[in-house]
Amino acid sequence: MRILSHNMLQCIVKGCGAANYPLRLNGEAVHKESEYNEDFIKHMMSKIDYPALYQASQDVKIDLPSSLPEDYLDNEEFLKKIHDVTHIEEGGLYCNNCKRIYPIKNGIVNMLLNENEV
Amino acid sequence: MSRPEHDAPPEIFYGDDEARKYTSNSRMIEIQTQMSERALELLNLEFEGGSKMVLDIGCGSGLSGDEISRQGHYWVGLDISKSMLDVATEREVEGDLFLADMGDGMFFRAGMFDGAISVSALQWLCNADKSWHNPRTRLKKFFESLFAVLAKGARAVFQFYPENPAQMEMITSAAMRCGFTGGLVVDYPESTRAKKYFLVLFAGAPPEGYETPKAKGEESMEEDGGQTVGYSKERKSHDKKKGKRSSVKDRDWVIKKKESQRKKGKDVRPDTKYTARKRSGPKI
Ligand SMILES: C[S@@+](CC[C@H](N)C(=O)[O-])C[C@H]1O[C@@H](n2cnc3c(N)ncnc32)[C@H](O)[C@@H]1O
Ligand SMILES: [Zn+2]
Repeated sequence: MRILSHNMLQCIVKGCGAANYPLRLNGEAVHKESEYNEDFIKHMMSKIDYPALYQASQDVKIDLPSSLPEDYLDNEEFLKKIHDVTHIEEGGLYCNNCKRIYPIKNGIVNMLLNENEV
Repeated sequence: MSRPEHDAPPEIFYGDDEARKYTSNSRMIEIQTQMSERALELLNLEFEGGSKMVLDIGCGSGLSGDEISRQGHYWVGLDISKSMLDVATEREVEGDLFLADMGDGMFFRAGMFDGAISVSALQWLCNADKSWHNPRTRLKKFFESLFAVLAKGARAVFQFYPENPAQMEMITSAAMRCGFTGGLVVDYPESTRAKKYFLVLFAGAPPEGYETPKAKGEESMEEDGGQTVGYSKERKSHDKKKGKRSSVKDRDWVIKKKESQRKKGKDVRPDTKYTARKRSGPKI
């Protein structure tokens, strides 16, 4: 799973409540090559929750500025960093609120819920 | 027509043997790819222009996802079958994969996706596979949460196999109750083999100036208005604000990708004159 996708995820366990975002990340960051698409990353920046992205970057020890650079839309170095597909192959997501763990195995995140969680 | 959803839950039916067909059965690959291509055409991301973020519901082996990538967009997919997702991983698809049941609802923040597609998965929701499953509740949960994760005016296109008119009605009305507008597009309504159902939904009203997609192969249906039905809030306008077309991945891209997979010892279909060719409509 990409760090960028993590930014979109929230816990949906029944009754988890409003503090279901962001999920904490656990795992080793693996770098993968990808073609830089400036148009796309700028589009995604309008959706990204930067504090959550920063926290995720801290969780898996990748280097991002603690707050969004003011000139971020013109800051190619920064945009490239975000676009860089940093993957988590093995590990898990953790909901601080309800303590639910969502395992990540072979890059696939397991979001399946049990009967009492839906 | 066979109805696998009557025999077993999806995570069982789409086990290792069935999943294998998505890399080995060329007829099946062809059909899946064709339907994905048509679903994307109906999704019409070009209307807004640029590279978009798409959700693939029941993404399986990622054949549909490949089509999204090929058209220059990005995606994440979810599927209830681990075997299918393992095939997707093996095929080194571009999108991120989630093992999840669409009937449990979407687990993303509001407004994250610019569109959603789903190929041959939606009819599975009409079955109760667990003692606590209620198809109506699951459909409601699904459409409600899907509405939330789509950007305003974004489309969701489902190719699916409705079993009968009652099921079609159950699905469409569940979607409408959750705030979607839109309706069914039936391609090649008079051909038993090529006939395909697409549920085309808008999160809210269609965007200003958006034109209703037309069904294919319905010439003979002209008198009774054709098979494009149920559109609400349609606006006719000519100020098409077409954005920049996103980059369509060409043959070189596909060949390069296959080459890299081969290097890693993957079993990849050989390059032929058909590789990444523009596909034409279904043969009828
Ligand atoms: C015909 S296959 C789709 C193939 C896919 N488009 C591809 O390119 O491989 C239908 C898929 O829907 C999935 N599916 C069925 N019910 C589902 C559910 N409740 N939640 C998530 N996925 C489901 C199946 O596991 C299967 O992979
Ligand atoms: Zn939670």
